[in-house]
Amino acid sequence: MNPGCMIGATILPWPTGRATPLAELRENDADRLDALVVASAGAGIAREALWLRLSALPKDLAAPRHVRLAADAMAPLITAPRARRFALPNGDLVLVWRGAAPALIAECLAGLRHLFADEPDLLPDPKILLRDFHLPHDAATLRLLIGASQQSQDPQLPTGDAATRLNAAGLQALEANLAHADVARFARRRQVCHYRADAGFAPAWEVRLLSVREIAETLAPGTDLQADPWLFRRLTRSFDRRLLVLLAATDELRDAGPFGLNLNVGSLLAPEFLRFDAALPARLRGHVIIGIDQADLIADFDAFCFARDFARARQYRLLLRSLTPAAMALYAFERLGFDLLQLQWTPDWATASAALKHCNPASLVLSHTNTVAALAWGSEQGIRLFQGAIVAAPPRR
Amino acid sequence: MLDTTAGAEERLLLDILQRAMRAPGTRIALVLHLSRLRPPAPRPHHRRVARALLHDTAEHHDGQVFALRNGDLVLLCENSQAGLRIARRLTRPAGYLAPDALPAMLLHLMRIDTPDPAQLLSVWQLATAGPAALAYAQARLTDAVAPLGEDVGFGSTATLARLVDRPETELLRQTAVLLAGAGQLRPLFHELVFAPPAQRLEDPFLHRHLAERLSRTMLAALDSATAQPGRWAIPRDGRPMLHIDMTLAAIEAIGVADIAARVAGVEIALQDAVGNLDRYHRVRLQLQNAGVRVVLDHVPHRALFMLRSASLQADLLKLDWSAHLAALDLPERPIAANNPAGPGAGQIVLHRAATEAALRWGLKQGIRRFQGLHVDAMQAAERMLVCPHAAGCGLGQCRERATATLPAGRLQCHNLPLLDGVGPSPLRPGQAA
Repeated sequence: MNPGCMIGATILPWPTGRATPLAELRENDADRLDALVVASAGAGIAREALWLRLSALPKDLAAPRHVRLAADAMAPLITAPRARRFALPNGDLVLVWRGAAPALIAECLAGLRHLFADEPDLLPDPKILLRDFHLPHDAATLRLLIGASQQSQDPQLPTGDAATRLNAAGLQALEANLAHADVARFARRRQVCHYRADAGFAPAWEVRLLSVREIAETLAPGTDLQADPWLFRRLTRSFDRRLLVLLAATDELRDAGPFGLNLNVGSLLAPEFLRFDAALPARLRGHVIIGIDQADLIADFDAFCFARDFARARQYRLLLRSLTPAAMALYAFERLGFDLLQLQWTPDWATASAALKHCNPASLVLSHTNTVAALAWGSEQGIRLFQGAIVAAPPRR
Repeated sequence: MLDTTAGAEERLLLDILQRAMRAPGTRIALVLHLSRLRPPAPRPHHRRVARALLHDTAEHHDGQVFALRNGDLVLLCENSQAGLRIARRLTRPAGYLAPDALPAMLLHLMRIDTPDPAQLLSVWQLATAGPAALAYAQARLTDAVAPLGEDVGFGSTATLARLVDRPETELLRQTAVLLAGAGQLRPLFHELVFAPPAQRLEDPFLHRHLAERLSRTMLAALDSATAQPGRWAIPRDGRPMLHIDMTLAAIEAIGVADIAARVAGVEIALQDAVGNLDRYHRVRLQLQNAGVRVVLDHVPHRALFMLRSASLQADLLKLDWSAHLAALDLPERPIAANNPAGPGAGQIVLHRAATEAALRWGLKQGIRRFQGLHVDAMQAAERMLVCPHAAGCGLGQCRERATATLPAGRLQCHNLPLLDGVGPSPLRPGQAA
């Protein structure tokens, strides 16, 4: 079967009230914000801007959950006239809107103070954390700050500073800890979006996952979980099982839209998956995408074939993850039976488009779409499904 | 150890069947003969998934599932829409299967492990074929069965932690041969591998982690294995035709120059290569440029059909023998004809060739390179033919001594040069290919 045969009009509509508005999707937000500032200055259009300097939070208040909740505290301003939200590369958030909105700003500030009420000594001066600007008057200052925000590294990347490698004994301890931990707090969603040049980005599905970085910070501080690729792959099986248990809980998927899971082959055949399968609402059959890693596929072909047939019989769609040009040359896709192929963007793809000549573009998902160049290359190949910083809103709970 | 004691599940099945026979109605007995799957199946996931599917149907059709000691699963249930409980009609999941739909699904799922699909399932309407179901149940009471393997899931990390603390460091030697004619063997290379761990690691990822740890000590172990009197002697005519197992990370850490100075070939596990293809190609090029042969190891038979392994550009590919291969529909055709992007038969070493069936299948496919227990036995037989000390030795002893590299394993051999292949050739004149 050709990959992608199940793609198309069958995708469930995104559930009402759960959608991420188009304006929230980051299309190279720093550039878009810069363009907006330039346009306002050029046309003399008055706009208000509020800059939330999440990068200025002290280390003790900069845990991912703090950052996420702080960003959520800005939600009231989304209702301001013509409001737009920009997520910058250094993690800062900027909201721009038309007209005065003092009550909404006060509401945001109160939300932030409430959030950090237990650590008043650590919280920076609100004037540092929150800055307001008036366009077109502050255009030059804003542009300087936007430029500075682009110098920072991707905040999602693990730092790995002085982290110790996970070893067998550490893995054993971590698996024991994980068995009893409340993993709901580590659950995240990342969007995969449809892109059309005329309509922009629209969510296609969201990938449900556990945040590896937060698990490491909480359960194994100072340990680089991914330093040893094989121990990490083993660890992902424990993640799989805990995530499946979480999703099988009553009502967890009641309002869910299409979603994806990255699972090991062994996890697809585990008791936890069978319980998840039993709990999956009928309306979601055919709308759950299961991503399989290449190393896992090779580890046990027989088990993969069995798992693939079982998953397809239960109407899951299968995706092969992280394909590079070299990987495209390796697989006999027509015999593997995947519905979707996830290409991992690297600059090597720019000269390897020929590797896609036998693929149905509708079956392709381009991941790591973090730059305009990646998006442009993907669009040129006819790819419509994208994943990465440029298309997705920040991960949410 | 075979268990001949009737199990509680077998007795319960017979009892319920006998009672059902009094008013069979539309009830059926469906037997999934998992015991007839081709080993190593049925594996725990076969039983787990099949049982879940049968339970699903049983729940909706007033049924019951029995898991027998021989691995078979039996479903007794109603087979009519009328039998479908009204309450269940509203709640049944989309993946639910009616009794009529179950056989096709089970056959589909088990097809790659089923030698004979016609033998996988039995479905008896109790009203018309009840005695056959009863006979089956009665026969199970007296079965002598080996206990099913415990479902250990992913296996224990604790085992790995122990193995990493005290890794096995004895090297074993395995010889790959070219089968040049009727029974004529020509040694191609010796592969050095660490002795398998005393405790089995079920998880392939933990296994790879251990391989990585051991791989970094391979060169030191190789030097040690040949440094002392009584140990295995490397043939000294030119560069020894030695192959060693190594991981990509270890090769990069040690450096290609050190490896090239000692061995003729490096064997890289397919899983390691595919896990990081860019790294694999980088290392492969370095090795090949240094004149080291690159061999892809642990290639499962399905990889022949699912991968375009030619793209990996290895010099040789070691295909793991599996009884599945003999059952594949490849009549008299070379492997390359089945998958043009796959390896040619001339590139394949049929590994783990432990039986004559393996050799026969390989030869039929045009494969001439073999490695495994059967090949070891054939080589031992050739040595014994020319060895003046052979009278006191058995075939198995000669084979085992040839795999040992430490003095303890070779102590009883009185013809070490012949054992190591550095003395007179075991091949008769005119046999060299």
